[in-house]
Formats: sequence, C-alpha cells, structure tokens
Amino acid sequence: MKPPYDLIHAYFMKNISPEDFDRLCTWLEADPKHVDLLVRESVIHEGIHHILTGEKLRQEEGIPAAEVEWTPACPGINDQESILARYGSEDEKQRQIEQYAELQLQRFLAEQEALRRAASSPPSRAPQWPRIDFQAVGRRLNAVLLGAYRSVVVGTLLLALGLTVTIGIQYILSHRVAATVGDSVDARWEMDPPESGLLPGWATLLEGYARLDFKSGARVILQAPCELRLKSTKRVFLGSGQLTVKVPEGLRGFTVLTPTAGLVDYGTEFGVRVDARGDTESHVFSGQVNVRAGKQNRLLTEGLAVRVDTAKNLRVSPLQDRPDYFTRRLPDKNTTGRPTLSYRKPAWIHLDLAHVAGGGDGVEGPCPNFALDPSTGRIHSQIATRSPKGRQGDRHYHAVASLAYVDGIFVPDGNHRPVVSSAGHVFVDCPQTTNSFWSDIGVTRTRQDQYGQGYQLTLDGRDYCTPAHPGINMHANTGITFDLQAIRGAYPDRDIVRFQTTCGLSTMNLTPNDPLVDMWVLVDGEVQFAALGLSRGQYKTVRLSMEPEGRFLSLVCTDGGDWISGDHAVFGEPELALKSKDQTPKPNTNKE
Amino acid sequence: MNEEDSRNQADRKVVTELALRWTEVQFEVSSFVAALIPDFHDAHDVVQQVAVVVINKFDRYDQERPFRDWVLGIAKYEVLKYRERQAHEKLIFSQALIDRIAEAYRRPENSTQQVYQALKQCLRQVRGRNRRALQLWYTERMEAEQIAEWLGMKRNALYVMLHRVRASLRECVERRLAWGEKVS
Repeated sequence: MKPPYDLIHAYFMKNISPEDFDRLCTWLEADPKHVDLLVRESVIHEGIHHILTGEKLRQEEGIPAAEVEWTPACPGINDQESILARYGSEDEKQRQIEQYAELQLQRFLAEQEALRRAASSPPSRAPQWPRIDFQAVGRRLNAVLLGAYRSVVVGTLLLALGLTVTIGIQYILSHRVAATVGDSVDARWEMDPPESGLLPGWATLLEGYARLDFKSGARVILQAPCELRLKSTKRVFLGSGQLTVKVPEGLRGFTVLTPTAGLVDYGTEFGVRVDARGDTESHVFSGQVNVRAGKQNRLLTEGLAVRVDTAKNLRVSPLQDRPDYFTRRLPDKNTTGRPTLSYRKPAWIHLDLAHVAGGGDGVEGPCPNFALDPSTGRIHSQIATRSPKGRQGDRHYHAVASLAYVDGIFVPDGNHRPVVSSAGHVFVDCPQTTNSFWSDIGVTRTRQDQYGQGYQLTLDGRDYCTPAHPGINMHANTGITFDLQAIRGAYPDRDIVRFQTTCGLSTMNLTPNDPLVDMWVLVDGEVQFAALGLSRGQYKTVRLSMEPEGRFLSLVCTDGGDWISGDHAVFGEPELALKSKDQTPKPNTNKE
Repeated sequence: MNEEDSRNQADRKVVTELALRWTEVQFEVSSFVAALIPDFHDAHDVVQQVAVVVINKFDRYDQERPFRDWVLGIAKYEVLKYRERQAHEKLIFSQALIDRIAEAYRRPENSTQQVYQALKQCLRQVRGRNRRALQLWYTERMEAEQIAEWLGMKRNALYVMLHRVRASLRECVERRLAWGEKVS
C-alpha cells in the first residue's frame, strides 16, 4: 500500500479533514512499519523546525553555530572510563560538562525569548504608505491661499478621475483572458483552468504537458511540474519547471521572467528552464532572444544556450543537440487517446572523463588531447615534463574555465590544506607530500613527451591512455576536479548514478627505485575511495555510487610517502554513468 | 570542605548531569510529541511540561534504565494528559496508536540522529521561495493564509509547495540513509 504522504503532510500542516484523519489512522493501524514511517516524517518535521530556528538564532542573536547545533553524540555520563580517558581528571570533566550545560541553557533561553517575541509581534512587513488626511490638507490650503476652496475641489475631482481610470484599467487588464489551454496530454493542474481562458495569475501544472495559446499569438508548451504566473498576453513568470515558447512571425517582445533572468524574444522559438536551485537555463532554437541578468544583457542567436545562476552569473555556450531536453511539441496520442512518445532516449549515457580531461565533451566528437599543468592551470597541446627533477606546485587551486566539465587542477600537499574545488572544498585527509610533480595531467595520446620519453601506462595487461582504453595520466603529485553540477546542467533529465575507473601504478619501469603511490577519489573534498601504497603494477577497481548533491568529483594521485620518482599512475577508463530520470509518460502497451 | 559545601557540590553535579542528559534527548522528545500533537504551540507546551516533570523526578530515575526510554515514557504520559484535556478534539490519535508510536521511537532502527544529520545536509539544497515558505511556517509560525499572502500566492498553492518541498527533503534523506553516507 503506497504511503499516504499527502495525508501525513496534511496532518502536520494542520490541514486534514476528519475523514482523511480517519483514513490516516486506519493506515497506521494496518502495519507497524507504517508507524515507523510516521516517526520518520515527524523527525523531518521537527528537524526542519529545529534547524531553521537554529539558523535564525545564529543570525539574530549572534549565538555561534556550535552552541545551537544538536549534538547527540556526547559521551554518556555512565561511561566513566572513557570520559576520564578523554578529560584526564574528574575535575576537568566536571568543568567541561558545566561549561557545555551552561551553553545549552543559554541557547534554550534564547530560543524561548525568540519564540515569545515572534508570538507577540508579527514579522515586519514592507513599510506602509503614510495615511494622508486629505481634509486637513484641504483646510490648510483654504486658510492660506485665495481661491483655495476652488483649487481643492478641482484637484480632488482630477484625483478621483485619475484613480477611476487607473483602477478601471487595472480591472480590465486583470480580467482580460491572457491565454487558453489549446491542448494537453495527461495534464493535471493544481486548479483546473476555466474553459473561458486563463486570467493573469498562477497556473501550476502538476503532471503531463499542456499547450497555452496566448492572445498575443504566442504558444507555450509546459512540461510538469511547472509553476507559471501569467502576467499578460505577452508576459509570464516561470517560478519553476520548464517551457518552450514559439512566437509567430511579426510578434516581438514576448517575455519570460524567471527568478534570475528576463528573456525577451525577437521572433523565435526557445526553451526556458528553472531548476530546483533557481538557476535559469535557456536554449534558442530559432531567431533571437535577449537575456537580461542583473546589469548584464546578451543577445542570443539560434544555436546558443545560456545559464544564469542565482548569483546572476551568466554563461553562454553552444547549444548541443539534445532532442529530449525541451519538449517542443506535445507528445503524440494514439487512437485510444493514451499518450505515447515519438522518440525514445537511451536509458544510460557513459561520460568518458578522459575525453573530458583531454578537452572533449565526454560523449563523442573531437578531443584535442589537451595536457593540463597543475602548477599554473595552463592547457598545453601535449604532456610536458619541463624539468627532469620535477616541478613545484604553487599551493593554489587553478580553475580551468575553458573546459566544459573540468573545474580545476592542483598539486596536492597535506602540509598546506589543499583546496580541491572552485567552491573552496578542502582535501582534509590529504597526506603530506613533496609538493612536486613530474608531468602534466593528460590523456597521453601522443605517447611521448618533449624529451621523446615514451609512455605506456599498463595495468593488468591493458595499455591505457589509448583510443581503445582511454585514461588520465596522473603522475604524482597531481589532482583534477570535475564539475558535476555542470554535467547535471547539461543533462537535466538524467541522474549521475555511478563513477567507475581502474586506477593504479603502471608497470612502466623508468627508474631503479620501487615507487609507491596513493590514489584517491573525492567528492566535495571528502574521501570516497582511497588506495594507499600501491606499488608498480598494482591497481584497484573503483565503483562508486554518486549522490545527487555532490558538486565536485576529484581524482588525486599522491607520492605514497616517498619521492615522486617513477610514480606513473593512471586512472583508466574513468567514466560517469548517467541514468535517464524517465520523466516522460510510459508508452502505451496496448494491453487493454 | 564542610557539609554544606559538599551538598552544594553534589547538587551542582546533579544539575549539570541532568542538563547534559536532557540536551541529548530533547530533540527526540520534541519530534515524538510533534508526531502526536501537530499544533506547534500545544506541542511546545507539552515538551516544557515534560522537562518540568523530568527535573522534578530526576532523583527517582533508575540509572540502570536508559534515560531516553524513561523520558519518552514521561512524554507519552504528558501527551495522554493533553489528550484528556482536548477530549472535544477529534483529530487526536487513539491510546492504542499513541502506544504504538511510543514503541516505535524506542526501536533502534528509528534513530533520530542519522535522520537529523541527513536532513541538515538536504535542507541546504532548499533555496529561494521554497526556503522562505519553510521559514515562515516553521520559525515565524505564521498561518497559511498569512504566508500565502506574504508570498503572493493562493493558500492551496502554498500547501502544494510545502508538500513538494517536504517530499524532496524526504527523498533526499532516504537516499543519504540508504547509502550509509558518513555525515558530519
């Protein structure tokens, strides 16, 4: 039996009818696991309150974060031995417990005070217009000016006329139908649109697809879930979700506003999407669109895409042909009236990160086989080993703006808390290294560097960094970070489900020593995989489930505690598996 | 040290021990009461009452028994007393269901700690209007009509929005728990 989340939600929102409450009770009584589910929902419900209240206290009362965090992992009072071992003495333990208890008491009292204040005074609203006593103004005018009475009468009449006209225009505009629902497929609305048409206001599509025909002539296809506010016959606000606009010849100025941008069409077809974070993405299929974000204005032509984040950063890129990104027409219906799809998209896409590191898009097309210098962030046409003794890192993270899914590169050294992403994530567990590296990061298709040194990066008999078996050549100490959020943005209808690679120290034997390396896989700076002390020929297979919130994936090779000599490591066939979210209606099986 | 000083020191030890224990279980008690009393103000009053009873009866607490179970027992009793006072209210769980819910909280698989930590990470992803709606509901304690007016939307649309946000938080929490992520 599917959990009645709508009933549980209504219960916690105090918006449940007696009949629905009875249904909820019946469901709870049916199975103890149902009660467990209610417990989980209650923890989430109270947790939201607890966390947001803590935030509010931090902001308003200046109470440090540590003091408002609920830390259930405190040592138990009964565990005397471990406590004494931790604190060293009974007196010290007592002092620390008192200090902690006092801080918690302060937090509790501050929360009570905040609650009392919130209950006694409503949150501040926008300042109200001051009330003007027109009669007092009129009396004063009468007393001061000759003919003031006549002036006041005339002025008042003009004011009344102006107000009437303004109110009348507002009334007409607000009651003028902006659009009608031209067609729909499996559509379910939050509120069913009237047959006479949609007036300015919110229209929320919960399921399916719908085409709105605007009175101005524009046609907009909505794909659920979608929150749209119709402002007029030529202007809409997209709160969340995605739509496609097609504007007929001769009509200009149809505007789509989003939380971060404004898009004005100049006779075109374009798609707009607002994701869960509030970022805006738009693709121009034909014609031109002007994009405004903050103080920036860009004119986009056919074949271009733009992304505007919540900080109003605007990024334009070529539009890649992805037919399943925006719905440009309603899905077909078959003779039984059930919706079907006229196209099928592959369930999986495997993004080749070696292709990406080399300057490609990870899927197909040209790959320049770039090499990346982790000490400067520069891109070279081939791997370089500029000094036989190796090069020093500069202890900085170098963003790589020109490669679509590469966030940056760095030389890892635990002596200096290495930053491993443009968002400032730190690789806290990074071991201390020599802060030096031998060669650029690259895909080594040229098979030799500028000294004529050949590379053969073999693991388990397989030669990596070849067209048949791509790989990323990462001699210690180097690191490269991929931007998962950029990949998600490029594939919004897919989840990044898995990362896999075979990583190890190749059998290439150019030095007399017995080298060792450590190889790491990080997400947002946190270790997800580590293979320590790999010797020549040793390798590990990595198969990592990816969380939807992880922003950056880093591949790192460190020197294993000895010098960098001979540390020719490789991440072989590194790939991200992207799975279709399958948002579209299921195909009709014709079983009825 | 004279006898009075010794007594004072002993009292101080008891108070600090109690404060520490209470903070360890406070969230669990709050969520247990919230499961049974969805009204914020009433639930808050009941939790305060639980705290008072715990303080008054701490000298009778059996140290062999887990403190958490003892406090949840007191909380259940206070909820039942609330239920008697609200006899006219129809939307209150039966005693049998209250017992079941209390029992569910005692089960180790319903640990609140992991859910809370996962929720902290997931809540960071909620932004903009959605986050504002949550803040107005959960911290400002505004009524639905007020929040809807504040956000410039209809009341029903607000409920849909809150429902959707909670659903996404639930899915995020379940994913994190399923992957056994090490949360901070």
